[in-house]
Amino acid sequence: MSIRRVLALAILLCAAVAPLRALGAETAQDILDKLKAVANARAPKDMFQRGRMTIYSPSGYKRERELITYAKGYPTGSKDITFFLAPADLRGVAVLNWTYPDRDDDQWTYFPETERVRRINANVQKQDVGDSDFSYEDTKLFNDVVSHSHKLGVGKIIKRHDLVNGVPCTVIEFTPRKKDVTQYGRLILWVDRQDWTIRKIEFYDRDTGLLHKTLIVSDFVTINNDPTPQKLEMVNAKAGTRTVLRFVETRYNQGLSDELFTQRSMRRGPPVMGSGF
Amino acid sequence: MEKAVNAGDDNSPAGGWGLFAGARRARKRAPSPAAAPRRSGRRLRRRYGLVASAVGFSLLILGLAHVPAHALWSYDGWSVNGSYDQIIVIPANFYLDQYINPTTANEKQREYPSGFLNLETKGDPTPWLHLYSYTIFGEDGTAFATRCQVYGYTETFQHTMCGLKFEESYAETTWGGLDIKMGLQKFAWGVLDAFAPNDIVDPQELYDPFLAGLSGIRYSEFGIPAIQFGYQLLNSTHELLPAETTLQAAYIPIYVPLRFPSVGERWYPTTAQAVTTTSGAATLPAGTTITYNGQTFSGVSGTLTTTTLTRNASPPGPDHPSFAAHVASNYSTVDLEGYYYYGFQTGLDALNRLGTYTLSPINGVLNAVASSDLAVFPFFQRFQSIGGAASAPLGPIGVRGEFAFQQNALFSKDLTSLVQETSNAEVLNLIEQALRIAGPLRIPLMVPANAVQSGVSADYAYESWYFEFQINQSNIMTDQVGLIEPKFETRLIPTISKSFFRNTVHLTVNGLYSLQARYWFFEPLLSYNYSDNTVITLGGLMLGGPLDTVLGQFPGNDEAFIRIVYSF
Repeated sequence: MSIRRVLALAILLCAAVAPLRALGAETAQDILDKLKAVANARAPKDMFQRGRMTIYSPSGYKRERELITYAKGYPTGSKDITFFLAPADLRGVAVLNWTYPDRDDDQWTYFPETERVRRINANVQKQDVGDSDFSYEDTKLFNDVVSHSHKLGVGKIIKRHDLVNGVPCTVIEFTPRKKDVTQYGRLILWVDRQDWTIRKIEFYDRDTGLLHKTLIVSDFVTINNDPTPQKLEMVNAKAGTRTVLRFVETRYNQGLSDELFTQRSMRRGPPVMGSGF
Repeated sequence: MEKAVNAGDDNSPAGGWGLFAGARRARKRAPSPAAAPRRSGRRLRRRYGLVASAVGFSLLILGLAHVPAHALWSYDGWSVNGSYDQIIVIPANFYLDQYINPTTANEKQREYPSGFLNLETKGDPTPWLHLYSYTIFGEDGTAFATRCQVYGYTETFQHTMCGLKFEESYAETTWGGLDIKMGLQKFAWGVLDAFAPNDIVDPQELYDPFLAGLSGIRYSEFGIPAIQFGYQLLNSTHELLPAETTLQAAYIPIYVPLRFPSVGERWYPTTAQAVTTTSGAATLPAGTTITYNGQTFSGVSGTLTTTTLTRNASPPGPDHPSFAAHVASNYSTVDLEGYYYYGFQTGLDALNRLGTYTLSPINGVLNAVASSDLAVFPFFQRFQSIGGAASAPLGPIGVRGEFAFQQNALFSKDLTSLVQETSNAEVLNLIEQALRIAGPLRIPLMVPANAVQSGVSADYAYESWYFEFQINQSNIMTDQVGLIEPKFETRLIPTISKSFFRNTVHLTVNGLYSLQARYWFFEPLLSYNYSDNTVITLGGLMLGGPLDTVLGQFPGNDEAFIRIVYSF
């Protein structure tokens, strides 16, 4: 099992929930700032999610992954840990991620076959997630556009009213400044100004300028006054494939302990639900 | 004086286990004709059964491949998972009739299909108690011993045709930062993928060093009884302090030895193989004579047929416990680890004991025609090691390194020179045994020495490519003559892999080359994820180098194999 295969899947669940909020101004940056402010105000102290990912090949053949993620915010960043429950060749694999606002993330993987925790370098973190259409970079961009948009690049409103699944949105073109930050030359964001969430993102290749992927965020439900998406769908226009991630369970503010976000926890596996996890 | 090797062996001299005197897991081979009696009908049927079962299981696996992969059983915090692993090996010099006619010649190259059923059970009856067990039932078709058994923890030679192995079975309780783990458990030490210098606590099975490839050395490790105490210090607020530090100390009440291959199996060192014939003559030192039947002789000659046998010996018990300690911390982007082990290592010695004989004077020389048993048996050397490791990202490259200073580490003797040097002595000793003026000749196969082991590796990923390059060094600091390993040795270990078709196909090439000893290893692997729970791997293995080196001593062990793993 390759490291790349595991990486982006691990962070995916966290990325999908926390910073999906926002908006209310006339310039693109104003909208992005509002998106960030709303996301910060709604941000839970911690989060638990259980998800099922389905990967569809162009021929219709599908593969499934089941995973659970715990995440917690800290003054110096955030930590999350993901445990894979299925399929069998991924079962027991765990990924621990410590995110910082001012430097690269620390990330470790645990492989039950060798019973060892291994630190992952930044270059591996940028690799595609072979099996699915999500990459670690996609999910990290998803967060960073909301949290650090003014550092990351510049935005421009290209359409004030457009519909995504019947929801009115403002469309923003976002261009990352530094080439080494991302492989994408620009992103198109659909921002719902009713509940301040992102509903859709198109990722355009930096070199060719062509559409590479499209992310559609849907099936929102309100949990603890926080609109939370239950479905993420990434369509890879380049490969003709798509991946659907559904969340079957989400809990906020469960009082997760610090011990959960450690290498010892990776070895032991996901805690028993209930008290003490 | 020269040494001849009987039919049934491959006429190649050998070294010892050397590099693997601390490594790996199992497959199985057939005995040489001289070592094994003709097979019974029952055994023949069993081997036909192995081939048939291999085919049957392979078909079954492919049939099940698209069944959704969920736990075999799961309920309220308890689960049972598992896998079935089917391996079919085609060795070099393969002849189809080896699979059909069990009495064919050249059957040292025989390789029967093997199957392993792995079951993992775990449960959390309370939030603070975790129970875990991992058990393997293996069908080892080419083992010399055709019986089945439950593998024990005190025997060095116990490879059988099939067996039940309790790999791990422990209870772990956690109270805040403190945790206690008690039972059969593994110690996953070291950061390097292959030949980690600090990966020394867990014993390993050496039946087949390359079953899981070069980096699969750790799959051969099995758990040992121990009590482990751990304490974890966490810091989320102070930037100048490590965010996570763990301390672990373990008490290991009994020493569990390595599991070596049986005599005649393919990975048993060649000169220590069963049945060798030594012919020689020796002139006794000046002033020394031997008296037989009233006659005095100043020279001896003889033809000695030696059969190698293995004997087990009891390892150190609770009155000689082992201790292990481990500390791990991370500072900024660097992970740091320290290790200390005070325990034992498994070594091998041999005693050449006279069997039947005839003595007769021929032209003034006392001549012997004799047989002897070379009994190979384990000994257990007190050993300690202290080491450290670090891993960190360096730009786009992941870098890892570790070292260990080892006191009284065991190294294999070069058995080639050992035999040549001592064949005179063997003849003389066996005559002296016949005359009851000497005891069995002790032949040391492994000797202790202090050493520094180290290694560094760098890995880099680019799109669907993965590159890893590791350099290991071994520096034997104690003067020992006739070791199979050079006093200072550098090994280059490259790995390249590439994924295709959305990660459903993986091509991996592993290699190893010793700069000083010039032995090498090459292993291409092509694996296909037939489904989420079925992986099919085609592989090849090639070895080479001078015959008196760690890998060069196995020139006939090249092979191709197919492996199907179904997980449930």
